[in-house]
Amino acid sequence: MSRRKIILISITVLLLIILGAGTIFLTGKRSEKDQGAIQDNQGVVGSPIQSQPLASDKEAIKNRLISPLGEAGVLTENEDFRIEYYSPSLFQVVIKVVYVAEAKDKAINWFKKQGFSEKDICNLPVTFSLTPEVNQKLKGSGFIYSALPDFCR
Amino acid sequence: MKSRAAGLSILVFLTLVLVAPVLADEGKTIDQIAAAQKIPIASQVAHFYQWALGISGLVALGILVYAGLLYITAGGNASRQGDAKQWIWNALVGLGLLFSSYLILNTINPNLTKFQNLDLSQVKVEQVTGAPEAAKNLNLPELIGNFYQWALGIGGIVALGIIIFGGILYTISPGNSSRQGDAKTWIGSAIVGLVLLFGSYAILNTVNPDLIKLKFSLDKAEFSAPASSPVDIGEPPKPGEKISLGIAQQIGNFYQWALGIGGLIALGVLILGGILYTISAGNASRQDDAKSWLLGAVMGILLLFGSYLILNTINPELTKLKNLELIVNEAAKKIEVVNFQVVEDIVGFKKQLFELLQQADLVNAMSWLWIAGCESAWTYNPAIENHSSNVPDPAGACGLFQMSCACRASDPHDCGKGDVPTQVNNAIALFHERGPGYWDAADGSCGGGYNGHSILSR
Repeated sequence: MSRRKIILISITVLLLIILGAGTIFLTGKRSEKDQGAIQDNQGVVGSPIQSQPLASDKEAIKNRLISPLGEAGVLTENEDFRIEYYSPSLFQVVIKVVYVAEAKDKAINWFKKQGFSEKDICNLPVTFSLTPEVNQKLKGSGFIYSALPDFCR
Repeated sequence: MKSRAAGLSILVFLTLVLVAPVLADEGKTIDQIAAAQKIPIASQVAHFYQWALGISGLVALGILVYAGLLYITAGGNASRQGDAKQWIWNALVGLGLLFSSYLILNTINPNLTKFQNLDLSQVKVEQVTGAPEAAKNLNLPELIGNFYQWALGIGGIVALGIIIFGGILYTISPGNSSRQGDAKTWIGSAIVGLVLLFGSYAILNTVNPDLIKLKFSLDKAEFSAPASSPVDIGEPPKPGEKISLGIAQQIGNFYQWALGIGGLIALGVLILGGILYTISAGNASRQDDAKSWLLGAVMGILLLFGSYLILNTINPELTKLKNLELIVNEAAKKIEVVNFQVVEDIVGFKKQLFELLQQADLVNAMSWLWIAGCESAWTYNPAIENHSSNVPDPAGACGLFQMSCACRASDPHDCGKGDVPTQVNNAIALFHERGPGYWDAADGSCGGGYNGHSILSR
């Protein structure tokens, strides 16, 4: 094999490696903001997501919140999250930003401001989800996302 | 022997690097792709590709059998044994080259192996409230985007054809060093051409990913209202309504267009250079021409985006064009994510899905709703194909619960195709049959592998 061909093949292989590395880098690339979001690696739940009976005063709070919605609807929405309700008892927080952990905390604080304790939040229950756009941005980042708040495990 | 060892090393390297993503790809059959696209030429090319690979494989297999017989009947004759070894070696190298071509194309861009056609139906299928007819029309960036995909695809197919040709040439020329040299030259040129072609993609993507996506702000502006517009537009625009842009926004848009169009021209030249190099087959003069084109294009890109760097160095605010930032309203967002086939009323859809899940599996209904979200990349799209592409495919979708698209006859549950109730029933049936391990999300965490602790209860 001539020296020229060896050089050509070597360069080709080198370029393939660079291209592969570049692809991995580009697809795995995330901003500093995203880096901060990749902290939501919680453990497993280990039991079905189910609602549990609330104390009567908390049940009253819940009823006050959901009464305008009927069977389903959006409880509240801001730039960070949207809280959806589904009858008979499921509250799903849809995170709209890549700062997932921060947005989760804000959503939990919203429930606390309504008068719910952490135990109540677990019993509502509250689950978390993402928008497709945020999911797309976090794809390939190694991000693992939990259904329930940390304190519900 | 030295050259054989080098060749073998490269093949092993390529196979090791490239085979993993291919094995991970749960691709559709050619027929499914063709059926989905409903365009005959794509189907014909795809069938030809399968035939070419198959026939070449059969030829190599025949040579292997022939060489095996030759070796067996050599009776210790060193010359005949040498011939047999030569045939075997060439057949193996040919096979490796043939199928490496598929692996290379698939790794660079899986769409190249799917032979996707110019599918105008995918463009703006989403109707915009208030302007349904206008939304169906193609615009320039989308047309250019389709052309770009075509150009890359055709370049890849040409290179693929040359690699297959080179592989066959190598396979059927044992001992003929001249023909083997020709074959190697063809293959080498094709590989370099491929690298150049898709190197252009990597370069543009690195400089500015929007150049690849071919998304220019002018489109968004047509459906958007400025965040702090210097122009008093009164009531917020309705989806689909065009608004007048201020001079600052027009300049900003022109800047982006100029960068984009400059990048596209450079891209076209890069592709041309890549194709020229690919088909040069060792012709030094033609290779020099190709190199000149490529160098010119790279210089052009450097100059274009050098201007961006200079502005950024002087004052980063100049490049951020913050005052031109537009708020993209909901209608525009839906256009942006057109490939997700957005479920219009996601709350309404989830409500119906949740009701269905409660009827089918009350204990686990909440868990199933969550699993459906995670498995469908939070689109809740019953026609979603898979996580990697998020492309809807009614012809063979994996669906809400990402049941395999393969729909193997041996596994009646292993197919998400069908309406939502069918998908729900299939998923629940599979769970009761085999447990929760099919779904990574069944452990209540989305994005990681299933670890055995299920949120589903039997």
